[in-house]
Amino acid sequence: MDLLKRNSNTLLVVFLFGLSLQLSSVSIKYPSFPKYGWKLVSFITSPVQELIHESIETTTFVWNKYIWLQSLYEKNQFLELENQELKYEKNKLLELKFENQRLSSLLQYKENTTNKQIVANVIGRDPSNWSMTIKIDKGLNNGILIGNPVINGDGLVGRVSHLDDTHSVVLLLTDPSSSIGALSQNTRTNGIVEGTFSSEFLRLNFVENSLSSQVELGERVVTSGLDGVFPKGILVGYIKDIKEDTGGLFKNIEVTPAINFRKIETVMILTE
Amino acid sequence: MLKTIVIYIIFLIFAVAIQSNLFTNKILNNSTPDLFVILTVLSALKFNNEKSIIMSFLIGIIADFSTGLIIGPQAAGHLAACLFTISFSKNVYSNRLFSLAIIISAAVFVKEIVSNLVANFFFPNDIFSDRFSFVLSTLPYEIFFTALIAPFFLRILSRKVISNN
Repeated sequence: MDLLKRNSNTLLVVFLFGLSLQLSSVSIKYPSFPKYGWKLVSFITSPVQELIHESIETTTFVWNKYIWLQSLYEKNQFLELENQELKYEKNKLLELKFENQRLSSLLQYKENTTNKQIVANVIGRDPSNWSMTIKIDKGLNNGILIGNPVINGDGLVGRVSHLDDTHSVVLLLTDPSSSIGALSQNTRTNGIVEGTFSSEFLRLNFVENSLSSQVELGERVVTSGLDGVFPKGILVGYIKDIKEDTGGLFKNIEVTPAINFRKIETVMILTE
Repeated sequence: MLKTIVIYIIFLIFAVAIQSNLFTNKILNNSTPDLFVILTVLSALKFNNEKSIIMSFLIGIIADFSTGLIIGPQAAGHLAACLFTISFSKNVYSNRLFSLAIIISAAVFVKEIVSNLVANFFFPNDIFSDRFSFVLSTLPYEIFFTALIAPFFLRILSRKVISNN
């Protein structure tokens, strides 16, 4: 008993360390387990997050509206939103153009754009930098579901990872656990885009090291629609670097993301 | 003791909100100061016994919950940071600004390394290697910024904690 008392701190540390390993194991086996904890923390901290977000937005708004020219700010806001919508429409139309060129005389192509778009504000990011995620101010009550694609006017942002009634967490394209079916828009080469934790580049994997699988520098990369999650034709990025792996089956291709992941403020969630 | 717990909980809530909102996009290289480690170091310096060990473990659990990805690695990391602080603070004047900065810097380093090593057992190798490269690239900035703001938060919190004990 004296031995236990003398070594109580050591035993406590060993017990807690073992508990943390066991919790990690349970989290991997039952992925919904950490989400319950996130919901509890989110329920308590979301009001504070929104308060801080609103304070920053209000300060920025006051600075722009009253210190600088008032009408210019309003016009700029309107044009920014219109620009986002027009960029998204333009990207869709470009993909349609390529599709029509291939199928013009044989098929009647019918575009399926029945996705409803829900606009949401980004109110925070992963506080521990453990994963590349953002938190938005829309949730189940707004018709959002897990797995819904998330975009903005410049291109693909990611997908909804977990959510509660009023908020959602979006897994960004830059997270390594994010895998997107993609293809190069000109050469129509298929591959999988994966994140690397870096906001500067993504990897386009599983492009064969053969003459039949060609990609070009600067070429646009869009979603292929083959993964069943993301609609076809959403801009992902641009081919940045191509390295032929002489000993391997696949090329090493880097893709510059289409959007600036460090400055996302507004997103659109595509729902059925 | 109850008031101390309430102060810690309030600070944790604000830590989650501040770290996920105010500090992001504003700091170099996508790194943020770690307010959770500041709280762990404070509990280690002030209590220096089994209470600080349990509190640091719980702080790590809250940090894991706020991610919603995996529970356990950050709890282990905070536990290691607490043990390091308890043993290291015995040999330094921990009420000096420079000493505090050194303790905080080392605690952040220990916490990141231990939590990533624990996570290594549970993540696939390719994700882990990307993650470890990312951690190594952001760690110097994280250590610097945390050490920069830590004395401010530690002074305020330690006054509140002492006055309630």
